[in-house]
Amino acid sequence: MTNSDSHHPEPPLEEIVAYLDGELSSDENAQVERRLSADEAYRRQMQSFDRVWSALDELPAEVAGDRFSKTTMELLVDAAEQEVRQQTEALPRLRRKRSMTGSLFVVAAVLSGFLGARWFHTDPNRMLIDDLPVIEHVDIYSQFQSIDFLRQLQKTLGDDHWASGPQSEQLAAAGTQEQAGQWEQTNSSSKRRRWIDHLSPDHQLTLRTKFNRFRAFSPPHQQRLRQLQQQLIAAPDADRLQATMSQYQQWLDDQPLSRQFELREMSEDQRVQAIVRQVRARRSQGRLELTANQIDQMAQKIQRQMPDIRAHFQAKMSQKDRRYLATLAGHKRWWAMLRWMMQHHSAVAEPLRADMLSVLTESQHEQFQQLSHQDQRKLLFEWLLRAGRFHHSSRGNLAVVGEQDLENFYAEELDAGLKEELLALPRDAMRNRLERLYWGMDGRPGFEGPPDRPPGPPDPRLRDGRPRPVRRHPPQDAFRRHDRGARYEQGPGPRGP
Amino acid sequence: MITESTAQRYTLQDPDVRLMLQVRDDDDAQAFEELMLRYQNRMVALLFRLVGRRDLAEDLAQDVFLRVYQARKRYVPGSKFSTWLYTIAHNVAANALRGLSRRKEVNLAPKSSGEFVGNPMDLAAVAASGLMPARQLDKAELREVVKLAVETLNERQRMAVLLNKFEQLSYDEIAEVMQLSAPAVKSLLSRARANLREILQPYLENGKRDRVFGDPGKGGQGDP
Repeated sequence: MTNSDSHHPEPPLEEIVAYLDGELSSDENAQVERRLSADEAYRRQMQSFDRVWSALDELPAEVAGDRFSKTTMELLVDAAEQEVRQQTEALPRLRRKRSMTGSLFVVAAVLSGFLGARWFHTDPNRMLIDDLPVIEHVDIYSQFQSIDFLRQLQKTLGDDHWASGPQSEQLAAAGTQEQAGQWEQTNSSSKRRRWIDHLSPDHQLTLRTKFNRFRAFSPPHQQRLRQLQQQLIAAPDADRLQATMSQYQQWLDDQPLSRQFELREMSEDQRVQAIVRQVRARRSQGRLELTANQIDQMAQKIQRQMPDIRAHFQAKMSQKDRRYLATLAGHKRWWAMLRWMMQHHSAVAEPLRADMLSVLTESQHEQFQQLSHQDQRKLLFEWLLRAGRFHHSSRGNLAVVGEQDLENFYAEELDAGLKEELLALPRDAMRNRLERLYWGMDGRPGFEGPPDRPPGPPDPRLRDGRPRPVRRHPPQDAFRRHDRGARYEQGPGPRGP
Repeated sequence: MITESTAQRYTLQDPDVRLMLQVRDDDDAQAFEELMLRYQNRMVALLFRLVGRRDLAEDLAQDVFLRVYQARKRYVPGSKFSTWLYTIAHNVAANALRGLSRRKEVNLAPKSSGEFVGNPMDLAAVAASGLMPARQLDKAELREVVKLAVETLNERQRMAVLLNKFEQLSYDEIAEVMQLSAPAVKSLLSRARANLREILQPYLENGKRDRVFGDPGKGGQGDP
């Protein structure tokens, strides 16, 4: 890859990323590799970027639901029909009849090709009929090597539904349906064809998708799956194993791809243990599902804690920390503040936790206490996320400080000069500045924190202790000197809204 | 303007191009279905990570395939089929996100390319839950943190990252999809990955001390 700006030295960051993406020329690659072998810091930076990039593999994969194909094709059929209609209406009457016959053939072909059972009855689909029992469960058969795996799962988790929460009933229905289907499929080809004919259009399309996947496997792999299926139906406990297999499939579908990959890499014994641990942990958490009302109560309690948290910051935060936080924008600042608080100041973290737990019922509380420390944290984290979504500022963004709190602060704690200064700012800049003042990060007299803290360097935004006039363009020197990485927020610049 | 030789080259090299040409020339429904089955999961995944809503992602994915079908007669293979498809997806997603931000259903206030736009309370919740960067996260926690980190990127950064990471598109292909220059894509991706690193690095380095306040000498969270 050539760099059209190659007459300027490549910024290290772009060079590192391009190297990791394989986007450098061979000369540029060689240059980077020379530097990697000689420069420890550069190597660490490269590793750090690589690690972060690999972490994105943790994102769960989303797959289109089985209905997706069907509904999409229905849309296309509608579009095709509309096209035919428009085309024939544009033709002279005498030619219209002939054209409609041909066009309707196209539409009918589309319809029968996608939605009709006739497709399944042609010779090329002989494999589908012969291997129907395997194809119907192709995804789950690919997940284990022997039926002993299913036996271990069934023995440890039992026959009761072991998927999470609301899916358990779906699993029950799925298990029953699958058992009925399995018996049909063990019989003759004609019975299998009839079974297919009686499937819903949704299920027919799903079956088609599974068939395509099976066909994509190598012949040895196809053969292994056939043998696995034979072992399963020949087992004396075939019914229970098939029910367990159905549950396992539903449960596995709910796991992210990275987790599915992890499980596949384990031995079957380890996998059973991992699944059982996860199912049991989920079971206990499932009993602690909060109602919308409880989440709403939790959100209100969190909001009521904000004045105490604010007072704590003003009392405890050093000038240095305050100045640093003021350089951060928006949510970065909140994140850093809350991390500081939760890590170092149990005086505010514990009351917040206690408040959140106070919305639980007695039995929920008891169950919560029985969880491991790690599971408790996970639950608190989920609840905090959900409770946070209940609180909206007037801009529709989520905010830790409520609009009413800021309005009260503005009305009751600011002098006239400062109010005038704020009103001269654009709305977003005003809110940002107001929040900084609220948390005592503005560095102004009266907002500097405890009097025993040593004063810091002069605030560049003040001249003789008074605020500088609002600029229309960012003062680049002050920005660079004191606010590295932060965005200038006073007054719109050339890039402003 | 796509030359005949370019069209022939992609026809020979890309089986998906050949399928699309069958759709164009013969209205071949099975060929179209094959293409849809090959790309539907990736399309839904990409759009879901962009718009954050499963139902909307599927609607948009259907819109993409519908547009492919409606454009079939005008199709000329000037690039890989996937590049063409992602260009359509990018336009569909961009339109949808513009509409959503106007209705304030999604927090996507326009920012400069260096600014995060994610949900501050979510990120605060990550911290407040006690997810110390120094402690090793389990997979579920890491997944959630990674998801939030990606959501903090702006639309263009997120699209570039998703195309690069999950669809393995080159810078030139991303440039074609997003109608940017390749150097612009390079710059966009490097800023996006720097933003991701800023959030994720503390969580990925076990035993690392809290880096909220970094090295005072560096005046910020600090680079490693």
